[in-house]
Parts: sequence; structure tokens; C-alpha cells
Amino acid sequence: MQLEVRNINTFYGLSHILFDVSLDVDQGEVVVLLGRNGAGKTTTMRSIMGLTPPKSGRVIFKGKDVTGLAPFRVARLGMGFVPEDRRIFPDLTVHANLEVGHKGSGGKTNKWNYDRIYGFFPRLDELSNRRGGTLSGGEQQMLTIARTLIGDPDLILLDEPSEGLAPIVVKMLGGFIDTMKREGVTILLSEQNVKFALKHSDRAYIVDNGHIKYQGSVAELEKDEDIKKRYLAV
Amino acid sequence: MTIQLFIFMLVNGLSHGMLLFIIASGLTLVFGVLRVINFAHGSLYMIGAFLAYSLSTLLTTGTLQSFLLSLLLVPPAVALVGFVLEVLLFRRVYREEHLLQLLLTYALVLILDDVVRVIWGGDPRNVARPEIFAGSVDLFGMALPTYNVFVLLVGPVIALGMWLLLYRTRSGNLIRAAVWYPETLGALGVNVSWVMTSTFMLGCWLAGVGGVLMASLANIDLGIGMEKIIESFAVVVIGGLGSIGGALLGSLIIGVGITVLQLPFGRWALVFPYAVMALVLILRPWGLFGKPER
Repeated sequence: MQLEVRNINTFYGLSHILFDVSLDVDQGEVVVLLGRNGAGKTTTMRSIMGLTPPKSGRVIFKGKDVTGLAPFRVARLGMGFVPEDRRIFPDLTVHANLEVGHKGSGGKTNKWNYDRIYGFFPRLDELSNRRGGTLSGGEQQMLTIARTLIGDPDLILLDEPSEGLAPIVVKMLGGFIDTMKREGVTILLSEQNVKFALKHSDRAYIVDNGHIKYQGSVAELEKDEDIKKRYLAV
Repeated sequence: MTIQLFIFMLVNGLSHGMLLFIIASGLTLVFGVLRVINFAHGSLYMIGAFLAYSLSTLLTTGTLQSFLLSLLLVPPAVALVGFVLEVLLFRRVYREEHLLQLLLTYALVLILDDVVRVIWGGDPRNVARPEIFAGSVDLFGMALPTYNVFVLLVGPVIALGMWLLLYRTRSGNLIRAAVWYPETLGALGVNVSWVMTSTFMLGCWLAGVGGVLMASLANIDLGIGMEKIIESFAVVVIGGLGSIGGALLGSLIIGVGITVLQLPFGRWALVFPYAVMALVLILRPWGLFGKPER
């Protein structure tokens, strides 16, 4: 397993958000974490990355216990986090945003150099000298993925990437996910857009009220109308 | 007031403004990244001035070598003090409310000012100007001290250096990224604590440069830290908290304003910074170059 999350309990201040959450992601897989707004998807991602460290439980990445490690150390071990609200550095150009991601996590291998990233996201190439703050929502979503990708992560945590994007951009995003998977990047995706998520994932977990309520293959979940109705309101 | 006198006062004011800019830019830079208004910044500047004094007593005072050596050594020494303060104290309060941060930096003002009193005593001191700056230049028949002209020229050099650092280097990119989203920067693999520590040290380095320049500009005593932190605070409020360009404009407004208005209004000119500050707070609370709170 590339990522093993074992019984984590996470709190925001005094409120208990995640209850004994466990999940696994194998190398090369695309696994989706589904759930309603406020179910605990983002908190799970943040706990794994170390941004909101769990009070108890373990996060094991590539065989190494990374629980409680500073996020920048987790990143340097090869984990990438793409935040839901994109967080493009508005005063930096598109290219400078990429540079921060490139050298931040080392960027030692050449798997994702600037040429490849710009080839992958041609729109960013056209915009490379523009300030990050001037990009549209879809362009920002591409940049936030590119910025993490150029640090050459083995695992990417993609938090609700389709949120607020036009259908055509969501379709493009799906293409990026498929390509990243083909390139051997492992992806843990969190989504509310069930149809989109299931189309691009291998396995799914459902989180509800901070508990994992379901896990199974995409094919199994697609058949299970009862589960879908109960937790996903579809 | 003749036009010659006005120009003379203007140049004099600009050199005071530039000194103020060097100090205030450190304050605003630290605030931009760390979100803490460091009231002890003035005390660090004062420590720089007294360190320059002590160093000059060890060397042949009044020589160019001793002046340059002090410009080379004192600011890093102040930065080192900053390093200790950041690691031991400041990084504990970044997530706390402003009141607690204010309490910490104000306590530091009291402590550092007393440290200066214990080490250097309360007597005013000054450092002889290096001989090449000791004379004066003729400006419309009036003698303007060469040293003031020198200080006036250091300001733009510092401003240009800061601009190059912030906009043309990777460290500058990291600092500008940390202003917005430190957490995201960390998740991208950047050691944000270190970005913050080095930004704080850079701010203290600037305070140290200001201190060295001040030590030969006028007498230094226990009051200079408080005087400059209040002026600097007015500067960053006018220019916009966190904006270096704003600090430059604000410093020049305050420096020139106080100096030029002293002629007709005497001591009443000291009201000027607060009047401008109040005006800016009413009309544009986020400062001339600042951005409204996000």
C-alpha cells in the first residue's frame, strides 16, 4: 500500500470531526472519497497531509509513519496536496507559482519539467507571465494541479477539484486525472460530483459525519442504489 | 520662506525620510509575512545605533573603514538578535490574537530598552562621521552636510535591493507567497518556518542599517527607538501595512513634512504624521498602497 490511514481521529479545537477513519490507497490507483458537504472529506485530506494532524491514529506513506510530521516534510517525501480553494499565489506570475512548487519539494527528477507541464496544460503556457490573481476559476484549477504536479509527487490529494467549474472544464479535468493516472501518479480524490468522480476512479470510500460508511470498487458502488441514496443524495 | 531655503529643507527632509524608510520597510515587511506588528522594531534599531557606537570606540572613529565595518557588522548582529527573538518568542504568537502579540512586542520594548540602559547608560552618544562625509555640499549657497546626502542616497539603494530581492529571486517569490498562503506554501514542500525566520531577520537587518546610519546623523539616546517606532507606525499606516512601496512613499511624506513644516510651525510640525495618519485612516483605511482586508 502506498498510503495507509489507520483509525485517525481529528479535531478542530474541541469539535471531533473524524472518527476512526481508515483507508488505503495502492500505488497507481485513483481512489475517491465521496460524501456530502461537511462530511469530513477535506479534514481527511488535511489530516493525511499533516495540515490538521490527527489526535490519534496513524498515517503511513510509502511504509513510513508520517503522522505529526510537518506538511513540508510530508511533501518532500512525495505527497502532494491540491487544496479545494486553489490558493494560487495572486502576486506571483503563473510561472513563479510553478517554480514555488517545483523547487519546494525538491523537484529532483525530471519527470515533470516545465516543458511537460506546459505541454500538459497549454493554456498555462499562454498565461505564464500573467499574475496568478488574474486567472479564471478553471485556469486557477489547472495551475493549482500543475503547481503540485511539478514537485513530482507519487501521491496527489485532490480536494474537490470540480467544484465551481463549468461542465466543459470539468471534462478537461477528468482528462487530466486520467493522464496523471497513466503517468503512474496515485490519486486520492475527494468529490461531491459523484458521476464525475466514479467515471475517473477505481475505488471509492464514502464518508459521512466523520465516519467511513462504505468502501468498495466503483462497479460495486454504481450498482448499489441504496447506499448512493442514503449517503450521496443521488 | 525663500525658494532656496525650501529646497534645502526638502533635501534635508528627504534624507530623514530615507532613514525612516529603511526602518519602516523592515517593520512593514515583517508585518506582511508574519502578520505581527513588531513594536520592538524601534528598540532593535536603537540597539543597532548603540552597537555602532560601541564598535566605533573600538576602532579609529571617524574613518571610512570604521564606518563601513560598522555598516557591515552591526546589521547582521541585530539580525542575529532577531533570530533569537523569532525562534524563542515570536513564532509562538503567530496564531494568537493581536492583543497577545501586542503584549509580547510591547513587553519586548520595555525589556530591550532597559537592556540598552544597563549596557550603555542614559547619556546621549554619537559616532563621528567618516571624514569624507564630514564636510558639506553647497546647495544654493547653503551648506548641506555631505552625510545627509549620503543617507539620502542609501535609501534608494536599499529600496532597489529590496525590490530585486522580492521580485527577482526565488526567496522573494517565497516571501510573497507566504504573505498570502503560508499553509499552502508548506504543503508544496517549502519550510515556511524558515521563510518566516529569515524574513524577520531581514527586517531586523534593516533596523540595524537604520541604527548605524542614525548614529552618525544625530545624537542617539534612549528615546530614539520609541520616536522612530511611532513614526514608522505612522508610515506603514499611511503607505499600507505590508507594502514596501507604500513605506517608501509614507516615509518621504513624513520625513519631508516634519522637516519642512518645522520652519513655519516649529514644534507643532510633530503633529503632522498623526494628522496624515488620521486622514488616511478616514479616507483609505487600508493605506495608500495597501489592499482592503481580505
